[in-house]
Amino acid sequence: MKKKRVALLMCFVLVLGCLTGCAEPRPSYQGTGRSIAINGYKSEMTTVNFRFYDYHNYRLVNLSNDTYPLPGSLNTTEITFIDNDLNEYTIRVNRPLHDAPDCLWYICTVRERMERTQTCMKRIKRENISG
Amino acid sequence: MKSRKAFITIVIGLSLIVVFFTVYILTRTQNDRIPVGKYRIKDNDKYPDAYIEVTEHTIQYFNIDLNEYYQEMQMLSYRRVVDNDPGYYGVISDEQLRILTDLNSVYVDRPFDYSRFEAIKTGTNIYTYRMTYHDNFLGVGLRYYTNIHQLEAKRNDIVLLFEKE
Repeated sequence: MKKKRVALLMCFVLVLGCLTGCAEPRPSYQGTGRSIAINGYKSEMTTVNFRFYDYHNYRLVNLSNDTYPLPGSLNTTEITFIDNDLNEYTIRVNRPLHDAPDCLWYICTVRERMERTQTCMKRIKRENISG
Repeated sequence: MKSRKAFITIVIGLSLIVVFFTVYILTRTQNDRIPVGKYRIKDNDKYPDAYIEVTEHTIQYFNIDLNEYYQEMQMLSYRRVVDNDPGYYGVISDEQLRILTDLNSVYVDRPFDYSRFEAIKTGTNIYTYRMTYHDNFLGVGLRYYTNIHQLEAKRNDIVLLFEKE
């Protein structure tokens, strides 16, 4: 009886393995530090463990470990990008991107920017930016 | 007694298989292309005949003015991007900007090749395609709901729904 149970359990494990084995592997966690890496050549931004709260739309914007297309050059002090949920966000950094900025602000989405650029600017935590 | 135990074991085993299979169906990664076909607009009185036609590599909107929904917002966004980095973009007039942000010329007048866009899994049954053009910034993205076979044209909070025919 025990052998049967063990055999049955092994069958379940095999079935489960077959079912989930085909799934796309997920990228491994890349550490606890938050960072944004800018690839000027590809015009891309790679975020690691990066999130901020969108005060005006009442939602947490989570940009953990993903790559986002960016417009512009490395001379800019603003990064505007479209997140995975197809919303636009802009963050402002304290120095041009080529000068290794180490501090950033979140600026709200385009609609609020039209009317409330100054008032809706929120300083968030000091972040590390590399690239 | 023995046969009863075996029966219970088999029932539990089968239940587990059903559960695993259901979880697999709900969370499996799909082929990263949107299923080919025609997707008709839903709940839109202004353009009731609008639809999206999806082929293996392209999408195309029909009977709709996308500029009415998305152009003004994108002109404002892109003006900010351009003005922030004048050395890179040079001077762009409003007329040039209007031409760049003419979404109808990109998605409506001709098929848009989306083969370079990967499907981004953004929910249990949701795949997102950025569908951007020109500097990876302009454009209207699409979200595909695999469970209800719906497409959602989206940029910020402006959403248009399309249902598979």
